[in-house]
Amino acid sequence: MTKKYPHEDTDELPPALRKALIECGAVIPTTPKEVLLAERQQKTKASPDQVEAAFQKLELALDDPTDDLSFAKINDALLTMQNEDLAMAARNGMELDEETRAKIEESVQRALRKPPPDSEL
Amino acid sequence: MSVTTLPIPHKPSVSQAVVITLNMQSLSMDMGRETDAGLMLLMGAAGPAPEEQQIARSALQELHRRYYPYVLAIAEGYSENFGTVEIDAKEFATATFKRAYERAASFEDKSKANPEHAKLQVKAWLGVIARNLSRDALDKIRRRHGHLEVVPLQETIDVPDDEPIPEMDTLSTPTAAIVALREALDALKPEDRDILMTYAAFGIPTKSGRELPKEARDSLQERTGYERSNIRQKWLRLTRKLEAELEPILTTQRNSNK
Repeated sequence: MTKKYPHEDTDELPPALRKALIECGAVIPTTPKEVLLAERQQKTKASPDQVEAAFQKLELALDDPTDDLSFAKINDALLTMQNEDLAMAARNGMELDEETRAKIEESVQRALRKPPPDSEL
Repeated sequence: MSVTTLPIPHKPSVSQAVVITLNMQSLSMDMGRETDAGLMLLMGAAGPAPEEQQIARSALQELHRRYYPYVLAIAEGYSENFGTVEIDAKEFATATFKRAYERAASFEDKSKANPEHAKLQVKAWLGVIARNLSRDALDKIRRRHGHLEVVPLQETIDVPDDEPIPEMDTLSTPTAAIVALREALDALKPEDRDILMTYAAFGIPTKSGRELPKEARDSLQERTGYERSNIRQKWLRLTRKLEAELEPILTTQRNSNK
């Protein structure tokens, strides 16, 4: 979207692209119109048994305040990949200037820091 | 007996809430006949008394029965597209209902007693809860894997009255364009897909373009390993690339419809 007026907010996400992202499932619909769009593309069908099993899990979570229902964790494959990239950069460190080397050092330290035992959130 | 034989106010006043609460104890446990707005009210207005809690749980069970398949589908779509983070769709859906139960009192019925509108409104409301939950989970990952800075997150779960994008219509995007976008998304590196989804979900249009709130930006930097300026450049390139790939298909479709 191009800027028409100096005080107007701009958005690089065109409406047609946002719409398509919602239909693809990449963006969670948060308005009634977006829900309509998303529903037309939905394929998941949960059986009554699956719904019932999910509700039992929900009740357990409600009864246990310590259950924070962790559903997201960092992709392990990506972490490994990042560490390998950092290791390669460290091997070629003699060719890097001080500032870059310091940045790499910081990244390496951060990447090598052990995650807590329960790293699944 | 149904709780919604009379129109339910947007937000019950204190006296109305007292009446509703007193009436709750005489309600039938047959929640199947209850409207969506009625279920939300039964959950939101329930006090600590065991009988009221039991009714609230029954209302939750009915809400869950009606909307779990929808929420699961949303969670699955979201988890399939996220590159840098693994999301358990079933756990995500369950967490969404847990928070919905806890925040039911914040739901405002704007359906004007139209059941179809009410369904869409509840789904949109659950969508806002799911989006906020995913934002919190991503921030939690940042705190576990990186910096220790904790940013209090603003909790907003009301469904906006107006569409955030005025031009958005509800005509489906042509299948060919969806397929092309799907292929384009699949071809992206995980971190690039993360940038795209994070900006699309949490970005806010400003005078200088779409910007991320601080916690979302820091979290994205942590997950992708990119500097802030690189992330911004990648976001711009990604939207231009995807728009360029979609535009010919959309143009062809528009012309063939004329």
